[in-house]
Amino acid sequence: MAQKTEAPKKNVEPLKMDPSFKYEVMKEHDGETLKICFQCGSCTSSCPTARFSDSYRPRTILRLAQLGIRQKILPSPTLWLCTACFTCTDRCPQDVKVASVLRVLRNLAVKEGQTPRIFIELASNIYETGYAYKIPELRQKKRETVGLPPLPKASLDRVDRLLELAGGSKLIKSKEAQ
Amino acid sequence: MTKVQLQETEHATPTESIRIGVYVCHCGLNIAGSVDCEAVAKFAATLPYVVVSKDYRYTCSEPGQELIRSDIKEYKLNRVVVASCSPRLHEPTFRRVCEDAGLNKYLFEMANIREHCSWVHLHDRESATEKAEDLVRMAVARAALLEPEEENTVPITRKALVIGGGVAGIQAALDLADTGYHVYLVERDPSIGGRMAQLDKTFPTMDCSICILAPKMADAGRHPNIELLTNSEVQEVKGYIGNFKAKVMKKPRYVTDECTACGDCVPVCSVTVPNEFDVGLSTRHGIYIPFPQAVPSTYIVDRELCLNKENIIVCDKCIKACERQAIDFEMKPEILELEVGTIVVATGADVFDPASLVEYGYTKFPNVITSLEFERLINAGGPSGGHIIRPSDMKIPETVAFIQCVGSRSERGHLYCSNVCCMNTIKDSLLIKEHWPETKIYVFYLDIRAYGKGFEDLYKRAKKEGVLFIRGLPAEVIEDRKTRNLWLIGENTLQQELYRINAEMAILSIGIEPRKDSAVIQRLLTLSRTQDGFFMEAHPKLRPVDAPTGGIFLAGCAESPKDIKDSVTQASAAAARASILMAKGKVTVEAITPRLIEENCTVCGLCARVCPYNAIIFDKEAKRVEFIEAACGGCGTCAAECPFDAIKMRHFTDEQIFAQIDAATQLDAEKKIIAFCCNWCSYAGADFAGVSRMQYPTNVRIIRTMCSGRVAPKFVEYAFARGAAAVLVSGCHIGDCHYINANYQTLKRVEKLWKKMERLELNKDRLQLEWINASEGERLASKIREMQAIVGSVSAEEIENSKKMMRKG
Repeated sequence: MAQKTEAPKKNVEPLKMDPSFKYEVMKEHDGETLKICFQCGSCTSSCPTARFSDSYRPRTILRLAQLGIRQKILPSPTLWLCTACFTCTDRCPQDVKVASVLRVLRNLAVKEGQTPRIFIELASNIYETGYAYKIPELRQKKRETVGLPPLPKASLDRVDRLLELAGGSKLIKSKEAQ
Repeated sequence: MTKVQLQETEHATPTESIRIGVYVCHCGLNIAGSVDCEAVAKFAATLPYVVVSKDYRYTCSEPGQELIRSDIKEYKLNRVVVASCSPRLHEPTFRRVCEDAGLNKYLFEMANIREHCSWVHLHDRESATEKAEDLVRMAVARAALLEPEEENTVPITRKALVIGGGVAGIQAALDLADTGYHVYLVERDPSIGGRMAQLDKTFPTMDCSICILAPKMADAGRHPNIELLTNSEVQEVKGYIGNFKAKVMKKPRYVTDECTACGDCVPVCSVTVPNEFDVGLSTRHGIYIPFPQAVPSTYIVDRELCLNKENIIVCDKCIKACERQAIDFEMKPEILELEVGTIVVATGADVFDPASLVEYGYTKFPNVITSLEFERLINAGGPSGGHIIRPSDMKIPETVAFIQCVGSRSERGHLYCSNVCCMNTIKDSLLIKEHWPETKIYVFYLDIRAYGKGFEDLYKRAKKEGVLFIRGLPAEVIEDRKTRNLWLIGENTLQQELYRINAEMAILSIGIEPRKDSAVIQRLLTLSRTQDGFFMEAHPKLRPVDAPTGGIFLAGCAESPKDIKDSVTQASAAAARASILMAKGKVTVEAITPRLIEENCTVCGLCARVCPYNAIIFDKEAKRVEFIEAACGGCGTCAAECPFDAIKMRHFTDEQIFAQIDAATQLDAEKKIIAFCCNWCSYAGADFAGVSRMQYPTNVRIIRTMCSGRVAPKFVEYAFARGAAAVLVSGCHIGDCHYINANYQTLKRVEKLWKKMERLELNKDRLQLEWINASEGERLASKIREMQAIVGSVSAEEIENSKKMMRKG
């Protein structure tokens, strides 16, 4: 959208649309299917999360992405409510890879440093221990007392390498920056 | 008027009899905007045999045409080249200009510098001009070798065959019969009437379907010029435009014409099956009449069902019940041989079966029905006497939900829009409101397409009546086991809110799909089908009812999903087109058929083996090879197959194609792609890329052949021998070939060439094969973009190598 003139202050500011945003999405694997969405709503209506949420609407997120209203997508916590069950992808009449587009969008959000704390927490757990959940010492000891073998140790240098390749290290770094 | 440039050249040697005039068209700024037309005209003047070369703003305008006409006389031109738009657009125009000036129309050649040049290279004037010059060079080289040809005329039998007795077939048959031609109307079912007979009311006027159809059916039944062949199927069609020979099998009805349709035989019959006409919602007996208004009004015995099917009379109840003694189990199938000049294909369509969309629960939940079933329920002549009752408890539902786009606009059904379902649903909702105004009606839709005359009014009426339209299809339908009511769950996309709506009945608005056995008709008549599976027309806009095969016309849903009005319109158009041929009584065949060069022919029979039309008579003993000109389609795959150069494909001769390759590779061959494109699909696809302004690199030079089957391996080899970086062979998709299956040969030949290139240790990626249809401009453009990597990677050494290798052959 060309911003030629400043609208008078009294009026409601129109949403800023970034026409190049969709191309950012479409560069990523399966992101290219974003453009063919015709907004039928099969994704939202099939979505198990949407049935329990007032705000999570995959169709709406896709529309916002098509229009390039990035400020409404990337900072939004609802983006992270997808459980990756892929029912939307399965039922989409236009073969839009809905769940994958959402994944692409989450990745973009991460790039912009818009990751909810909990996901950073989980990622750094993996980074540090190889487990998404840090097992407390007490729990480890309890295993011993009931005769369970100790949990296997993850090979951290491999985890490190994997995170590096997947771009996860940046996520951790962003946490460290905080 | 624009300035006219005149540059006579000294290149044309007076002893040489060939005198070419070149006209470079600006097409306003369409060409001149990105090509320096003046420079191209100046360049053309330097080419051999060119006597006069001019650029002109609109060559196709009357003054432009006059310019060519007067030049032909003034400069004694015997070849004309116009560099302008696609020959698919204006070749006929300029051919007529040549003929007006006394020049044989086969001595005209076109260089396509608009669709294939200026429009696809909008931002690179220099390279576009260079390419335009090359294209003119190629056209002039070919023009110099053109020969005058005479066209043969073929007589046309003044009889027509109409396949399919739905409303389209009936209309076409009536129009043809009224014009005065004898018509055979063949219908597979026991009665004509088709889908329209099953419908209750029609949109947008809400008039009764059978009430307006029945008189037409009766007209067709008693028209002196119409021979009605019901319960019959076309088994074989041979021949060609004007001279088809069709074999039709007339299956026995086991009831003679003595039948008065009194119906006494029905109650005594002891076997029943679901009634097809009522889509299985009622039953019929082994002897039956499909519906009361059936034409012919004669009963029929379903021998598959009848107890007497093993040809032993074990039950004679109906025979005894028939006073007129019209039942005859001795009737045998008859094969009729019909000679006709034209054929109208009106084979109709099937409906989508929604059982595959499990989330809607069709066939699982009794109260989920299809729109066609609804038509029978709401019809006063239907199984429920016009009451919509829900199957689970026979009660009239208080809440009804329509679900749109079932099987349409979806990867899980058909990709296209079925055209009629929106209006059909609106009509159906009004019918319910008419009978039971209190009924709550929901319509779940994606888009409502109310595009026709009176459609929007009807849509508005439905809204006024209180029909609730909700944008967003339900994701699933869940049944309440106790009440058998249905829960529809989905998103109201305009509110971004989920809905969960209880309905007592759900009607799936199912789409239209091609007949399951369209492939049979396709094979019988050598037709083509589009990707959707419907029969393809010769031109989507300008010849919408002509099939690509001469003398065959399309009407109704066989061509694409359409409503009654459009079917009738198209049927009348098809009848008119067929009448034009029959009124003329003869047709000229384009002179692009092969000629045998007898001294080269070894009577090996390879040509006859690859001919898709069986147009080559091959007799090893009598040492005879002969072409049946009228049956020949002109694809040229015989000439490409002949290893002895014994077939000359008129107007697409080896020499002409070699000359084009020569001209195309004269400059910077090592940077160029030589592309062979078939006239119908790939060349048209390239035209489409032009019309859509899809930009692609300038280094491709397209050579047009009628079919990709014309592309002989020697052409490809020659292009490499001349140093071309890459070669693209492209044709219609397998199965869509305009010459039945000639492109199978293309595939075989290219595969052979790849093997050969491997053997010679040449990079076989330099030869690419791509199927591109007329609407796949982007596919062509991206193929050429993709091939840049190949062009860029080919080393000078490799080019030299292939030059040597390929020259050796």
